[in-house]
Amino acid sequence: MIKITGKITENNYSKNIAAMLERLNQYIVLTEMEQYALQLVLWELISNVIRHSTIKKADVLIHLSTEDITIELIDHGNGFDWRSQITKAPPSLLAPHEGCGLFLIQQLATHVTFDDAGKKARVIIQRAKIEEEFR
Amino acid sequence: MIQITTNNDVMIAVFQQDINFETTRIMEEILRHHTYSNISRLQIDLSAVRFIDSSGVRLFISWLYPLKDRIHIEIIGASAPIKNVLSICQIDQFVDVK
Repeated sequence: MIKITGKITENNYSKNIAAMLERLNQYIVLTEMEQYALQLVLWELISNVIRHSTIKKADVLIHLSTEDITIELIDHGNGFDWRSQITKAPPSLLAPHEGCGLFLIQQLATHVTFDDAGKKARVIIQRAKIEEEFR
Repeated sequence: MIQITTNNDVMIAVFQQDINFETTRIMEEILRHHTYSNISRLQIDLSAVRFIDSSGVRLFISWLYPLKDRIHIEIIGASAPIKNVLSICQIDQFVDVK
């Protein structure tokens, strides 16, 4: 199993996401869909912290196996009210300013959980699922 | 960031970088300063775009959904993963994604 870690701050998040993806690519060749799904999940989780958290810092851990990709994010701030945001419905066409980041994560992942405080997120992307959805 | 040209009743919008929460605010300003009353067709070229996040999805919905009944809108040049995101968010229901 491959593990990649990153310490995210308001000033380095974009470069750090790119660096984590680049490090992963040194170990394994991800398909275009896997790469995009991983980038999108990372981007949505991290941008949520940067936009909404009281302390704009987070730790990220990515585990990669042949079956799945697991992303864990720990927000150093107060977390967020994920219960009010989590929805299975696609983004409303009539209310375009409502967020749809969690919806996208749910669509790409097989498993999405938060702790009670909304400070720790765990997302599992089953690699076969991504390719299946793509077909 | 976005190159917009209009020929007769056709507007072509070429996005030249990724559409994410860092870039959407400026892109929204650019798009807001154009008028769409005299066009019947809008072609959006995403050939240079590698990544769209949920902010980009919201940008497309807020920009395009109000236009959909009087303008034929098409997206060209989107990569397979971006097409997938547009489909997941049902944007392909009112935009012709080629």
